[in-house]
Amino acid sequence: MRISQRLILGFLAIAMWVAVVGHISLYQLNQISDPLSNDIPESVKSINKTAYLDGLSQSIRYYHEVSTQSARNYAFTQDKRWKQHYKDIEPELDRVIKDASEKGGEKDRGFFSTIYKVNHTLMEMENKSIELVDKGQPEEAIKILESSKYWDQKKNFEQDIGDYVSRRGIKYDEALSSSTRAVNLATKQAQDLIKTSTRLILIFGVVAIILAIGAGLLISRSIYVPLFELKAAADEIGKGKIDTQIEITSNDEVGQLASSFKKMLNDLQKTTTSIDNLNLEITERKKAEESVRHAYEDLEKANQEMKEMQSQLVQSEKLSSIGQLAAGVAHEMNTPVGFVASNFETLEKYMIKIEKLFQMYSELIDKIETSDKAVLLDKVDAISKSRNEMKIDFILKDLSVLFNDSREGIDRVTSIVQNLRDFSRKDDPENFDIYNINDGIRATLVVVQNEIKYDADVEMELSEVPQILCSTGQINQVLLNILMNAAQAIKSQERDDKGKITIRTYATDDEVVCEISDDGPSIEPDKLAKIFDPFFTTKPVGKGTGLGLSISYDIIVNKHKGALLVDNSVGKGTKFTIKLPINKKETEKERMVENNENKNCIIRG
Amino acid sequence: MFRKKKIIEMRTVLFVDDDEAILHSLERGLLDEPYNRLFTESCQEALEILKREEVHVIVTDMRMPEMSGLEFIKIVKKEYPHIIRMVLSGYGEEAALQNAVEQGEIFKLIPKPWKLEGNFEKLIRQAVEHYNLQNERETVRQKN
Repeated sequence: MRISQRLILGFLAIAMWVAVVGHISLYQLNQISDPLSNDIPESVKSINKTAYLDGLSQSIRYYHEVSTQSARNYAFTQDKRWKQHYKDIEPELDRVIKDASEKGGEKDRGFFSTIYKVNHTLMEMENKSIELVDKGQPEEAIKILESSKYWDQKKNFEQDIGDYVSRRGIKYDEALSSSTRAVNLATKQAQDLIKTSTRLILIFGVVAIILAIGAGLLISRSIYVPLFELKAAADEIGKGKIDTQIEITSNDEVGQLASSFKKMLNDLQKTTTSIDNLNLEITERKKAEESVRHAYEDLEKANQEMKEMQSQLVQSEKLSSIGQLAAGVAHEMNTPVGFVASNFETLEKYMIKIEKLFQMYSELIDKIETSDKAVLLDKVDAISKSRNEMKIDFILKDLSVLFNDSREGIDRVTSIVQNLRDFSRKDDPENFDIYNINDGIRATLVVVQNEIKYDADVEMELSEVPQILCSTGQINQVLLNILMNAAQAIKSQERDDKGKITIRTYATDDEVVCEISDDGPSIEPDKLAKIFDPFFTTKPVGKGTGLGLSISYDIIVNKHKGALLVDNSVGKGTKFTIKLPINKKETEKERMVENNENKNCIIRG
Repeated sequence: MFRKKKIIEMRTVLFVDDDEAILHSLERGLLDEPYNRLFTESCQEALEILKREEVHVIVTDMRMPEMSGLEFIKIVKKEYPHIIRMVLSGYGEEAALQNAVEQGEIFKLIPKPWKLEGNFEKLIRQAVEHYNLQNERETVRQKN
């Protein structure tokens, strides 16, 4: 049974018990109240009535005596006080009789109405006698009062009331004793009932308390015992003894709790087993993970090292191209700087010689007026001789050539510097700049000219192409790389005639294309697939990093979203094709920015 | 002194460079030098000159079309071993030529750009004197 049901039933039983006891007590009380409220008041009432009527009867006797005596006295004495006395008493007597006839029982009422009539007859005669007295005929009045009719009536009246009073006296005693008995009986009954009821209520109360305590103990025990068992089991489990058994002894809430607990325990036992297995698994997995992590760390380290190495190699390739660039530029500059510097030095010598000759002419002019002709002629000879010795004629003729040569040399230097600036204007891979591939090719050619010009002729077929957004430095690095490769390939053939490198540019709808082909040795088909691989090189050891084309590929394909293709027609050299996307919108925007910059910054270095 | 000067005046130096401006600058820069000077723009022409003229020192550029300076020097060494060979070398060529210098194929390198009074004139004269010394040793040996 459920605890709640048990509790409700227990309390219901106690409530019913109390109700029954209450009901019985009420019944007992009713038993007491019956005689108290009905019999006793009835007895008292009857006694009271009898006593009252008796009183009234006595009053009637008394008032009758006084009124008849007063009327007689008035007739004999003619004293007005008696007449007054009579008038005072007469209504009282009438009232008392009337009252008695009203208050009395059936029999009494009949009796008193007779009394009433007799009294009225007497009162008529008495009033007539009083009137006769008042008229001054007392004898007439005495006659009436002494008449037999009057006396008969008076005797009857007195006889009747006397009988009634004496009869009443017996009845009064009877009534008195019977009501006393009734009261005594009722009191006794009530006392008995109260005694019994008190005893009963006491017994019932004690029984109710015992019952309540018993029920409480039973119910609490039925709740507490299984709970205690459950708690003990829970404590055991808490200590880690998860194989503790739980017995379900009831099917109430505690029982349900126990059964839930048992289920939970079973789950726990299963889980614990799984956890043990899992722990084992985890340990093994951790070991595996540890070793994997070690392997991963090693790999990471290796990767890091490789990245560092790669960046070093990329750096060295970059340095190598910078080196080539610097070497090429320095070499290109050497010649013009060499002869311009030499010419400048010579010019100084020329100046000294010319000054010397000038000096001689000045001296000659000074001496023209003071000296004679012979001396002057000697002087002229000396001048002429000096002029020959100093090769002045050659110098004068050579001066214009010297200036032309030097100007041309300075132009060459200027051009190289200009191209160098164009070649790697902004080498910022994050910020692309506006680039015309034709300009890029020209700038790059100046730089690589020195490498190419003795081995190959460069033929250019440059079409008008739109400007694109890209990293100038990077694209030029690619051009330099491909051109250098072409030159070196041709050179490696050690052929008698010069090779030919053809550079072609054109634009499609969305791409700018640059083709660089050479008539050098073609790449063998098995090597063709590898040429963009890092570290792949066909050059002798130490001659190339093998990164040039892989970096070029990265620049064109990854950084510029273009394409770098190689075409290998055996026996006809190699053709590289660079394709760069045209992004018209962005190019336009960039150009506007650049124009604004130009406007804002008029002086530019 | 007079004799020595006379000897040097008898010496001839041949300059080979594909750049006319270089030849011009050398011609005018060495205007007052005592030795004879010949200038040519190509190795082929230089070899032609060597056939006609007596040349004692050659100064050649390295990078030239058709034939490089080094190839030219090799030919000269083979054909005219007594001629003192010098190279007018530009940036980055010294290392490549160091081997040739060590093997005695080249007497000396003249770096570009040069200083006429600083070292160019001096180096040419050293070469001429070297030729003279070499020639004298040869003469003595022949006499003996």
